[in-house]
Amino acid sequence: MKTKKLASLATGLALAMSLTGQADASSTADTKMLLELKAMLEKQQAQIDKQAAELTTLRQKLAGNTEVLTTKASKEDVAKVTEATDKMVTSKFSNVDFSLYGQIDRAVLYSDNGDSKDLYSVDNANSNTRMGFNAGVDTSSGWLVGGRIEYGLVSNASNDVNQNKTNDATDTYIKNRWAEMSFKHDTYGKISLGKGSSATDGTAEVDLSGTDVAAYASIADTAGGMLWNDSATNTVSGTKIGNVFNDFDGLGRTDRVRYDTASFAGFSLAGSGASGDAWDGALRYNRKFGETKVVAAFGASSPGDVIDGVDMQYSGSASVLLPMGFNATISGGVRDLKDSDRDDPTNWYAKIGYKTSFYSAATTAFSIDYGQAENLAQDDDKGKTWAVTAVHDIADWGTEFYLTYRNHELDRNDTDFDDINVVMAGARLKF
Amino acid sequence: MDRMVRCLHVGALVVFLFICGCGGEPYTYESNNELKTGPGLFSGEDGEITIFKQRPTEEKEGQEEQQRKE
Repeated sequence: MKTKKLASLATGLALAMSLTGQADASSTADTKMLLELKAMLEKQQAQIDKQAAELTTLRQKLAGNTEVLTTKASKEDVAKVTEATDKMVTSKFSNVDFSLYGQIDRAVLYSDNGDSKDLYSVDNANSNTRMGFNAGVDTSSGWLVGGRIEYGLVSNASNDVNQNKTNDATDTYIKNRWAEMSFKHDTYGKISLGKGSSATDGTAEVDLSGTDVAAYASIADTAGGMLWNDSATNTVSGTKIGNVFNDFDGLGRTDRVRYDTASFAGFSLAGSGASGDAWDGALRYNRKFGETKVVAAFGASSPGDVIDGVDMQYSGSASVLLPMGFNATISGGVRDLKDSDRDDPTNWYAKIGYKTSFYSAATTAFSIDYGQAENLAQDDDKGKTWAVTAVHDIADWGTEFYLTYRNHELDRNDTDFDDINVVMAGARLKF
Repeated sequence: MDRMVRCLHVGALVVFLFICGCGGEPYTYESNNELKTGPGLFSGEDGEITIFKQRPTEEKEGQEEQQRKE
């Protein structure tokens, strides 16, 4: 019995030992499996982390692109709206310049011819009210193709009013000044076709004084319509200031074909042929030496039918502006009349001036001038004139204020005229 | 004698023109009577109211940028 119990015990022990051994083997396998699973999980977690990081980067990129696209769209939209509101006129070409320019020049003119004294509200004919358009296209071949249209808008011009025409003195309010096309090349020069300055226009009128808005070589512009008074009989004559003074400034603005050479060492030549069998030629010189400016011009013209009774006309002028503001200007001209019995009319004019700045925003110019004209209205006429002038130019306002006093004297055989004194005060506004 | 005087005049003119042509810098004269020089009240420094203007090319923009830097 005891043996049987021992055998049973041994068998149970063996069985238990056997079972224990089996359990140990199974536990080792599980541990190994668990470790493998853990490793797999860690590997997958690493992959997930990596993919998450990539996703974050892509999201950031997407957000950035969206912002750029939104900003760009906004700018384009704004540009479109701005363009629509700012530019009522547009061009599909990228190489076009088109601009509007102009000025208003109005003044009060006081005149005393020895008999009557009058006050006039005038448009200053020295540089009258005007408006125009400039257009230009830079072509790829080096030519600048341009056009210019300009009209004078003048009411009661200072050279039209007189003792008999105190208001509404100017017949044509709107007058065409420019209507030309031009073709310009840096090497070959410029060809102009249409209404505009002839080659000799301005050859008697170069002026660096800064006072030419109120006083320059063309004396008759200030009060050219005023009539001289015969002091002996105290009657107003039919002779105007404009009949006595003229600077013979070429052919002026006319319908012409004009050619200008390119500038060479400051020199340039110009020639034009105009309607009415007129032609002219001019030499110009513009140069700067340090801060000293020098300009000069000389012209000869055959006026044909443009100016009656004149065979040839010569005019020239020069002006120098020194760095300290002192300046000097001279001008002269002569007409060769067809009528050989008449003396040829002549004119000369000189001016000295000073330009300075009393404060940074403005320039003030002063000048004194003197001129003489002979034989224009009739032989042995001698007109003398002098003036003092001040011009205050406020750059920020685009406006000049001017004041000038001018005395006109006429010596004529057998007639004694009173002097004509005029004072003109006004402003020129450039818009 | 007249011929000599004429030659002297022509010679003097040539010398004068030669002196004028030497030195100096280019200068563009604008008649103040044609239109007031300088800026305008509305147009500012340009002196003209631009209705439309040339769009600068990349090359011009580069040049302008260079000028600004200088």
